[in-house]
Amino acid sequence: MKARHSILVVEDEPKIRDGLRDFLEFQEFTVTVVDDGLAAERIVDAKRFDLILLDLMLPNISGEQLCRKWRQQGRTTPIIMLTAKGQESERIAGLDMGADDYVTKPFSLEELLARIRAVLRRTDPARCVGQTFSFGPFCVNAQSLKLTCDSAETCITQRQADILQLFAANPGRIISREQLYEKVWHESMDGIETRTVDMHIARLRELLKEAGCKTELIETVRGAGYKYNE
Amino acid sequence: MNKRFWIICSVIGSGLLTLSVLGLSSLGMHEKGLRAERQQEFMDVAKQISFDVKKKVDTFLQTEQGRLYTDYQPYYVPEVGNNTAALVPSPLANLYSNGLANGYFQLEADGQLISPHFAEQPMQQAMQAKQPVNHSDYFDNVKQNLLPSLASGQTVATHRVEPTEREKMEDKYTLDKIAMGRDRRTRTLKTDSVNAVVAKSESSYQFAEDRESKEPAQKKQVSSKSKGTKAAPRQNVYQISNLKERQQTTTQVLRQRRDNYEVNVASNTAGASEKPVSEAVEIYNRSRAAPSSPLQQEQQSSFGRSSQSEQKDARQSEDMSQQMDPEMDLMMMVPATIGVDNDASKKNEQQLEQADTVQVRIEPFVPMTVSVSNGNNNGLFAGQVFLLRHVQIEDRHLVQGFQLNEDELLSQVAESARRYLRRGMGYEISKLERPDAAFAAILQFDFGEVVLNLLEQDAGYIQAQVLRMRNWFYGILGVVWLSVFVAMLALWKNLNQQVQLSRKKDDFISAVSHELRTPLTSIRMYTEMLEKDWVKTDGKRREYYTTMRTESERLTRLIENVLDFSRIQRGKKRYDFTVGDVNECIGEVADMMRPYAQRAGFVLEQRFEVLEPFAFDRDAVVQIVINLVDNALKYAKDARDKHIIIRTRAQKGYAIIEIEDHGPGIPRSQQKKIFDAFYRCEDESTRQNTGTGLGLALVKRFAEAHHGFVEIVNAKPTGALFRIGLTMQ
Repeated sequence: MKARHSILVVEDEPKIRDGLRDFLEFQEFTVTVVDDGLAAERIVDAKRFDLILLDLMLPNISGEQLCRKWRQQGRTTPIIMLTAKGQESERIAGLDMGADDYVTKPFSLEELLARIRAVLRRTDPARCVGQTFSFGPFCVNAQSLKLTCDSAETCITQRQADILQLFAANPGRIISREQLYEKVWHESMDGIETRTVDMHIARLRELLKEAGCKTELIETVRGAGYKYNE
Repeated sequence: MNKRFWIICSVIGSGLLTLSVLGLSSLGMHEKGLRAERQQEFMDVAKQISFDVKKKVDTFLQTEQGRLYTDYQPYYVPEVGNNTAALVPSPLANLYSNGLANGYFQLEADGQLISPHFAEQPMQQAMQAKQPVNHSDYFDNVKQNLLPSLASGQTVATHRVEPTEREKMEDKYTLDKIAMGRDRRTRTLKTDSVNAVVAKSESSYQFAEDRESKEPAQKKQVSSKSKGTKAAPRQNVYQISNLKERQQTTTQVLRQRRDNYEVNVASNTAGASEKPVSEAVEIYNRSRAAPSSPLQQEQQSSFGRSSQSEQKDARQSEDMSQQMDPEMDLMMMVPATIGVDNDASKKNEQQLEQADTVQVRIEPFVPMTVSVSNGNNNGLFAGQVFLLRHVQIEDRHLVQGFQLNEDELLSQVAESARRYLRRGMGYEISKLERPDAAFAAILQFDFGEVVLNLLEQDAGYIQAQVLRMRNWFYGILGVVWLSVFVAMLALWKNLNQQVQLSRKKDDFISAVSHELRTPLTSIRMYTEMLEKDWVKTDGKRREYYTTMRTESERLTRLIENVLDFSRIQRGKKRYDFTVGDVNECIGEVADMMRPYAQRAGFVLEQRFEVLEPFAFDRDAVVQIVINLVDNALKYAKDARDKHIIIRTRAQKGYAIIEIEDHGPGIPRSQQKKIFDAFYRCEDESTRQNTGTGLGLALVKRFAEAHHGFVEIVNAKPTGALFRIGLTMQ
């Protein structure tokens, strides 16, 4: 069964908000709608979304402020800005704030759908590295869940394959435990005291060592997270 | 824009600052100029006063120089041709004080002192007419102070500064000393006659004459005494060189009839001069009757004269006169030599003339300063100043002179000062320069010098002028700075207004763009969903159609508002005033909007009073009501009391329309601004309600078009009440 992507719609105009909800639900997305900036901030802190459709002119907290704040917090959730501000400078400013795409009103629903899909694809690690990718001296097949090194094969779990895929898509970049949890477990860590991520990383290191890896491919960065050294 | 403004401010400020500094510097220069100008004024005044005083003194001395020697004697015989005149008193007999002269006297070589003031009758008249003159004191003074000085051989003291110090004089000095006997410390050349006098009596007075210089007495040498009284080095002293240019006076040589001369001598010798005029006349008559009288012989013997020596003296005198400067004033008291043609007779007559006349040689006046015996010198000079002249009649030597009247000299200076002093100037004559004098000039006379101190009576005169100028300058500077400041402030305010307006317009464009795009987006979105059949149920389908209609109406209202405002701004808005019932019109609008209000949970109430029909623009009234109700729906959406009340009534010639809601109301600080075009209470990026900022501006314009008004009052307990008055005419 195909996993449904969750989309948050932040729009103050009720007619557009309702229309978008109907349309996205019809396209089999899980849709959450909020009508002002404060509500959006609260719900993003509480729940993980695959995509946010963000209007800029919002009551209480503007869309620009929200976008800037989320990016400063390190949230990588893709954001598509939906706004009536269509000038070039406004588009550039929106993209510079950390938006992944920018759609001006009035828009075509088909075009919006295409942009949503494109953004989701771009931000999916599997789309970046493919189903078969290299991880240090190993070759990983995320579909068959096999780890191969010098013709020696080792079986891995789906969770381990997802973790390796995420690291392979972001070599040299520090990935926090929260990000790992969101991307792999598709849940937010806010308010949760868990060592799940650490346990999985420790298990993965042992597996790689048993498979013949002599170097530490996944490095712990104290106070920040983990980093994949190619 | 701000940067450009500050650049302009900096440039103007720098320019003003530079001008201010230049102005201050100019003020300083102006002050210096004023002081220099004032100093020049003092110099000019000093020069004018000095010239004037010098002229007066010179004129007086010249006049005195021309005075006959007989004027110094109590009586004399006037020269009236060949006829013998009667003996008359001297014209100076009752002129004890005559201009700068005080007390005339004549001194014989043997020390005998006579004066014209001894004449009996004139003195009595003078005493009756004026203040009694105690001339006996004066002559006692002459005898006690002047005669000993002449006899002592002391160097004469004056106030004159050492010539070699003051200036490199080319002509040095000429008169000079009056020395006694053999005690001669100065270079002198004595005439034979003087030698004869010296040989005759050691107590006689000698008159030394500097023949080498052959110049009339002009300058005096400063004695060691004078150096002691010399003023300290002066500042601001203008050397008035013209004072040094003395009137050229020369020795006069005259001739007098011998018999007249002899009568004069007889009448004015010792004893005779102190006798009443009747006795003098008697002596005179006796001498006329018997030329070889014992008196005449006595006179001759008293002077040690013989007929040979007389002739010899006459020849010497003639030689002397021939040797004299041809420019000398040779004047005959007796005109006996005029009218002779041939040489023989001329020579004859000259011999006869020499036998019948005596030669009178009068030298120029020389000053002499004599110390006061008691040491109390309150005068201007080092001592009492006497002006003396040497008179030689054949071998007889006389000193004639008078004392300088210092009071008169001061009054002459005062008179000149009054004439020439300018505004704010004062003066004082003193021996020394006053330290507080604005300018001090030395008035140099032959008999000494005094300092003319010119005083600034108003010491703060220039300071006051400068202060006045400075006050003006500061005033003008202040006004200029203030003007520039006000101008820059106005410019800044204008710029700010422009920026605000520009921002408002940007916001308006953004708002209009948003307001246009929002319904368009809805319409397009729902249209696309319907078109592509992305609709789940029929209910949704109907809802989409309704939404499309309402959004179209919203779009229409928005466009109407923008177009109306644009027309009003351009003056193109046309109103169609038609007489009708405004309640009916408002009721229709209320009915039209009621479904929207109900969907939003509001109750739209109508409370109309009866209004007489009047002329109004129907579209404008509809627009007013729609905009106000629409605002109430938007801003009171969260209110507890969701009643919107529309009232109408007549009041003082106005049809009053009120729309009341119970939302949050409008803060007092914003109540005046909300009717401005493009004004919105909320920040554009975080506003909670849609709108362009034109709705209330249009309401105000429409009300004004009806010669009415619009106002906002707070509703109770909360909310806003908009009151519109339309003129019922």
